[in-house]
Amino acid sequence: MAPRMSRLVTFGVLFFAAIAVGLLPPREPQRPRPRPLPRTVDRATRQLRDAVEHLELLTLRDSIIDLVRTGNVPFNDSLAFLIDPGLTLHHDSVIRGLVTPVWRRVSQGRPRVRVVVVVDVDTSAVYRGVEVSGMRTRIDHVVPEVTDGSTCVAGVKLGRVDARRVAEGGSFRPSLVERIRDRTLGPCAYYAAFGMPGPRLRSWLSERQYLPASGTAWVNDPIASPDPRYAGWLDGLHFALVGCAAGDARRCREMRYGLPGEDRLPVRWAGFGVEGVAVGASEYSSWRDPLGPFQRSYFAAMVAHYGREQFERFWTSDAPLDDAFLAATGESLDDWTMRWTRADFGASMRGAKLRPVSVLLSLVIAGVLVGSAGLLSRFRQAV
Amino acid sequence: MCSGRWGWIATALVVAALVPGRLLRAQETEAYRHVVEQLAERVDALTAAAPATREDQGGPLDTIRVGTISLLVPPPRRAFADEVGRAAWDSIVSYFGPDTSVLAPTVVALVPTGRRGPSQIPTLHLPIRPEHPAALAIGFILSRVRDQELTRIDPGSWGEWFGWAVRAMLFAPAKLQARTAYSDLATKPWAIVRDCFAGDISQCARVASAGPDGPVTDYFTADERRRIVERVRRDTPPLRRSASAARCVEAGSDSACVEVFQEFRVWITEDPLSPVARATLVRTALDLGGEGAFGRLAATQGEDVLARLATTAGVPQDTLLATWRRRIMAERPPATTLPRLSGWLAFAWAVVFTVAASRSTRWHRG
Repeated sequence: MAPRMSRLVTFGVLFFAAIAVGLLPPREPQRPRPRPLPRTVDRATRQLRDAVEHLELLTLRDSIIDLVRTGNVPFNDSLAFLIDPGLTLHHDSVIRGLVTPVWRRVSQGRPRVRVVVVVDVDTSAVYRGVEVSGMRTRIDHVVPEVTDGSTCVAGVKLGRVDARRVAEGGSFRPSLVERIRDRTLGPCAYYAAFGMPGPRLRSWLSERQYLPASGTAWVNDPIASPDPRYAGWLDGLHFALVGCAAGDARRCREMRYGLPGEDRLPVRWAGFGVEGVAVGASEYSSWRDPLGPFQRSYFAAMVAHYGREQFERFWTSDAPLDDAFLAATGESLDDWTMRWTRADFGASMRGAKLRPVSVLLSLVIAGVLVGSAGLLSRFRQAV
Repeated sequence: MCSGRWGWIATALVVAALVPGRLLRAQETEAYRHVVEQLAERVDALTAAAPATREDQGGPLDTIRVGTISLLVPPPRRAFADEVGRAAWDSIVSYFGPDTSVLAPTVVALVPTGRRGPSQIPTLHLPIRPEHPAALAIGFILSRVRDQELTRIDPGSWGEWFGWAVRAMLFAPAKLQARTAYSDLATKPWAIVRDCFAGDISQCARVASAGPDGPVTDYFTADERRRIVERVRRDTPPLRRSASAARCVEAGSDSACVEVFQEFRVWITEDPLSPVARATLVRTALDLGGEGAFGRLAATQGEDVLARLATTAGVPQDTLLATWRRRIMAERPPATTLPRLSGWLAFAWAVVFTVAASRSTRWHRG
């Protein structure tokens, strides 16, 4: 009897311990499950288009690695440009002139990885009758872990509109100039400045298509302050963000990991995405995303606030995200997320907007009514 | 022995739970190519399952003509195009009347998703499914006609005024529009609308011709301007930061309110009358004008919208406005009446409760 009892107790303890270990924080983000094959032509066509874009980028990666290995990439301070010969010298120099100063400030003369910037003019590809190329200019990234371990690839693919403008001899649109300057290096800037991220952070970033690490605003001087237009503007935002702005630390955690059962990225890449490859992520900005529409500035704001050394400790740590941040900065990641959210959207209110005096008055009135009813009932008598 | 096994299981469970997140795995290009091939086969299989759509992918386009509308479609979609073309044309005839000769030809291409339409021709990409809704295509055709005719009516500053009116006319039946206009006149809180509702034709003239960029001092009183700014300010951050808006709401300065209207017109969308009510005015003018009315509307130019509509109708402005108001008022919904059965039921319930109450215990003191 005794051994059976002890076995039962052991089993029970292990069972609950397993549940506790699985559920208690810090919980690692779960990987999105591969999606089943699409059931409609529209959806299948859309996914095929996305998959072909990924395939294009993988092919580009293979070519770049071959070129790097054979020494055919002209690196200058670990940065190289491979620019479509269809572009004029003027466009070529504009691109170099925009990206190189950012690179210098990012790498500070000691880059940890090499970066190859590939600028390509879109050539309206059709794959099995499905038009693949896009109207809009896209900026893609392939991180070093999935190349040769020390080269990051940034691909700028001019969309049809920009390509036509350039072919007609026009200059880049001002908005494109801004995008090339601010978004070309993307996650490659972090790899160059801080080296390889820790495994937990890498896994988290990969799921998020490296969006939180795609802004390089921390190299700007002065760093732009948040746009005041969005203060108090919480319409349409994810509940996690609204709750976090209201001071609920649990919600700040949900901003990073999503709600239970929720897709981490409610966007196209979640289906047939490839690890370490971010296709067009620099264009993505969704108000419905848990990290909000400005998640591109999530890590950039951290670097700006804590400085490169502290951020590097966080970036390279092997510990889970929250522990790594706490160890590196001495502050909880939830608190930081809350401050970062509030900087953009302001502090919102949480719960009912009842004033204490109103609550008190309601209780007094309720008490009077209950008392009156009780008093009145004393006069009621059954015959 | 037994406890040793459990110990191993426990250790394995804990290690499994604590193992760090999987490292990145470089995707082999050839392996991924296989995924793409699989998806491409899926697209083919799904497309093959809809036989009518396969031929849509290439080949020439047929032309279907209904009235002044020409639809370019792949041959398997002829029946569909015929159906939506006729429905759109019926709607257009109900608006423009028999005088359709003045309409410019409209060419629209309806092709499945993934196929390019002819260049320079407005193209609607239909979902590749045989059961797609016709309403989508009808709406698209009507909006092309609207845009085209709108350019003929007025490409200038009144374009938006007519745009909304014509859109409302094309997409909603006349009866429904008149009812909506009645509800507009009966419920809008602005003095100018109340006066029109009460029968002041001069006020109707002002309210009916209110344009989106018109001088707000013509349509709203000072108090109304302040109320509008106060309401919009609650939900609009730029207005919350505006000093003029603060002076308007807090100090009641009317000049500040007018400034806010001018500066933040894009946020303040309040118009004295809805586009649907304007649509009823255009429709009334076309109805009164009879044959050739639309041609006259297209031929007139100028900023005075009421004068143009009066020319279209072939009657004086007052007559046009009076007819317009009469038509709207005729759509007044019947007053709510109590059905006889409901009355008897209410009475029966009252009796039941009275009887129940009278059988209750009495009240005593002490």
